[in-house]
Amino acid sequence: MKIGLIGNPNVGKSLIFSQLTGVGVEISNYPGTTVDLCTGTVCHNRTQIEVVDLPGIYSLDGANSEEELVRDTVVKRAFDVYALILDATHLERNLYLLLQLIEFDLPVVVILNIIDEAAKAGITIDIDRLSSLIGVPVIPTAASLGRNIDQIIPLATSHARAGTYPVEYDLHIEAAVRSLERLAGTSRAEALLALQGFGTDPVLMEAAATIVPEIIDEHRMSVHQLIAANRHHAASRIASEVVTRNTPGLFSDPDQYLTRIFPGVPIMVAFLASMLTIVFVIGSYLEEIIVDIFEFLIVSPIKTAGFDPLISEVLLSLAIAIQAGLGVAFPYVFTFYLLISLVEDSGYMTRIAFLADRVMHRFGLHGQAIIPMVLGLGCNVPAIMGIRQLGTRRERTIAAVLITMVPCSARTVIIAGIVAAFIGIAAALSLYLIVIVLIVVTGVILSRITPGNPLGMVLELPPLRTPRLSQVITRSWLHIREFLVIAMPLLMVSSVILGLAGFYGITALFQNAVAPFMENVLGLPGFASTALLFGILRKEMAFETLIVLAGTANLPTVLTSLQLYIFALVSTLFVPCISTIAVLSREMGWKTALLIACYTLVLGLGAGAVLHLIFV
Amino acid sequence: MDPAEREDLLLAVSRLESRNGRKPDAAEIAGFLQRNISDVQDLLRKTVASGEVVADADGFVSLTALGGTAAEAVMKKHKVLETFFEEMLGMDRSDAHKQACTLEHHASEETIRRLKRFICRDPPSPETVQADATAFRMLADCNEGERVCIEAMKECRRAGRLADLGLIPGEEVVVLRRMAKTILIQVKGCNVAISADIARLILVGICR
Repeated sequence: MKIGLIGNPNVGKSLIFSQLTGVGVEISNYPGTTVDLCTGTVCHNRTQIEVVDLPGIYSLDGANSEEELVRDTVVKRAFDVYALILDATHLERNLYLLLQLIEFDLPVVVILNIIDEAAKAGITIDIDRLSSLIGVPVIPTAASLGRNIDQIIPLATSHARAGTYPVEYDLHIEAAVRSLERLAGTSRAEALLALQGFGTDPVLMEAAATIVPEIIDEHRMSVHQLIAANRHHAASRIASEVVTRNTPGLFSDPDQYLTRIFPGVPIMVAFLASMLTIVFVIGSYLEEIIVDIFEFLIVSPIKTAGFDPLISEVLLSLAIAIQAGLGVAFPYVFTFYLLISLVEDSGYMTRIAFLADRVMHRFGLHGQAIIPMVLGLGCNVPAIMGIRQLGTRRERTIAAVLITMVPCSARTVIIAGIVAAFIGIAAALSLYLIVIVLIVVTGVILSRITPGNPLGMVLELPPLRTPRLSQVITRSWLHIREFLVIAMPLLMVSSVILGLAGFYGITALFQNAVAPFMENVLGLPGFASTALLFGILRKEMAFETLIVLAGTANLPTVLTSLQLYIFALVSTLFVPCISTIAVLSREMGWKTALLIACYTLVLGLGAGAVLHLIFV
Repeated sequence: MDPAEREDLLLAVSRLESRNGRKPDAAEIAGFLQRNISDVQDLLRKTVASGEVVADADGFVSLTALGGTAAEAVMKKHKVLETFFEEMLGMDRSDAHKQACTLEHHASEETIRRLKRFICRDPPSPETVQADATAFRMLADCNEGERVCIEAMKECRRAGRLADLGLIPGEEVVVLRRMAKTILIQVKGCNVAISADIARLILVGICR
């Protein structure tokens, strides 16, 4: 038996899912999409039941990838039972999705969650009346307290049934639905979808397309608006019969501080700065430990094992790739995502999006784009994946370019390891400033030259909640998994390729070829080009390779402060790492990925050349 | 004096004065009305005599309070007629304007009042919302703490999401916060942040 958990975003779906399934959750792509689904199994009455946590959606008539996916499962009846989770504190708005689901005539149970917060807010819901009105069993739960969660599976397996509350649509819609049912032999739910432009049956879609203009002419509003209005009115009628509001208890509203310019913006800046500081402190501490362990257990034994030089080179390249990947993935990326997941789960991220909306508009983006940009500070790979949430290709393109310029934790290692350590904190901060200025300038230019219109932000701000550790870890793991699945294999392959290039002397040839350019234009020694090349593998490898090639960790004995500064600037800006290029190409196409790589290459070398010109 | 000619003249003086920021003379009015100057001078003499227009020593004219009220009444009629032709009948903008110019002189106050009520009761089409500015405002222009009612929405790519969240004509919303023109509203008990470019497409009125 398969049960699909469905509901609006922020109704506690994932928490209920993790409480139902416990450990052993599998994460997989839904076929033909890029949306991740969490699947777990529950054993009930000696039967294995598969539970799937579907993405949070507001409607089955939406056009984004999550809504398409859930609609697809509903139309194809992919699940035996749908457990619809409703937020008791916002019942009326949540009933909208229930009314849509009922139209598909599927077995449904309703989980009325967050009943504890509803009680605090003075909201009482007549559960029996609600159940008799909609014709499906309803169970009140408080997932944060674990209340009634154990009753969900028994209810879903034995009492789920199709709902019985038909929405009465406008006369013209009803007439159109009847016509489509007769013409194409379709169900009421599919006819309603067809009127809104969703469907695959050519006969049905053609018939719907001829009726729609008449309805628009008659009502002067889109069919979707008309249908939505009818559903909202029906939801409002149900809510008015079952919801009683008493005087709520007194509670403070932190949003009155968080969503104002003052103190909202200073809080946001302080928050982001402290988050980065924590990541860096913990990250560098863990990195040292992990790298040393690898060095001791794997790298050194390979070096001293006396293998054939070619085999030794390949093994060493692989070992270094794994060492580097795990040395960055776990210390920096995991710490960062642990913190960012805390922020996402608390609901504060949406407040940041609201505060940043106006600023982001100057870059041709909107507030929601700040979320992947902040993620980019940890690692560009999951950040680029985050741009799927942005509505149009134009916004995704601009965001992709800007994210690849955001100094990720690996670039932070370069800035800290080279500039802060050998030149000073002020110099490191000035380098950040240069990068920020270049991001702003690039954003402004892109917003003017990228074709298409901005889409604008429509974003629900859920109530602020205390994050739960289990969910934070699950969410962090999702981000980390993206890094490991995409970045690690690439890192290993390219590390071996570069290792072999070094082994057969190709790297030396390259170094000699570009040495004149490096020396005359950037003022850097020839070996710096090899270090930069390795930086494409993984950003902070540029730093590590520089130390190896310089023959000392005390870089100021080999390079001047200006050379160190230019090297750090060029490697920070110059070409995103190979994993980022790969994920860019997957999300945006290889042409865009290539263009971005070329742009950052020119930008990095250009910025380095300008600095060299000014100071030499 | 033909009432239509008189009203056209008063409108011409009013529009030229507001467009150029100074009083017009007979030649400018003749050019605006596309009539010969002697006819315009004749009309001006009559309207000066009726106390609706005053002329200074240099021949520049302006409306008196009486003339201003008369011109404003015709302007309102024109606006209602033009909106009706364009929004309700789907006529081309320039055709609607020409028809309104013809009928504004002959439509009774009662006709105009009923037409206005009809337009306001029936929401404008999603393709072309040109609401009466005195009745509707953009959601983007609302102040914090205001409770308003959605009257109409222009079609946009986010219209579907807005409708799903409960932003439909007739729905009450409360403006909780403004950050520049990005606004945070409460609709159906939920807080929703909306960018300025979308908030400008949502027209609101006073809650009844």
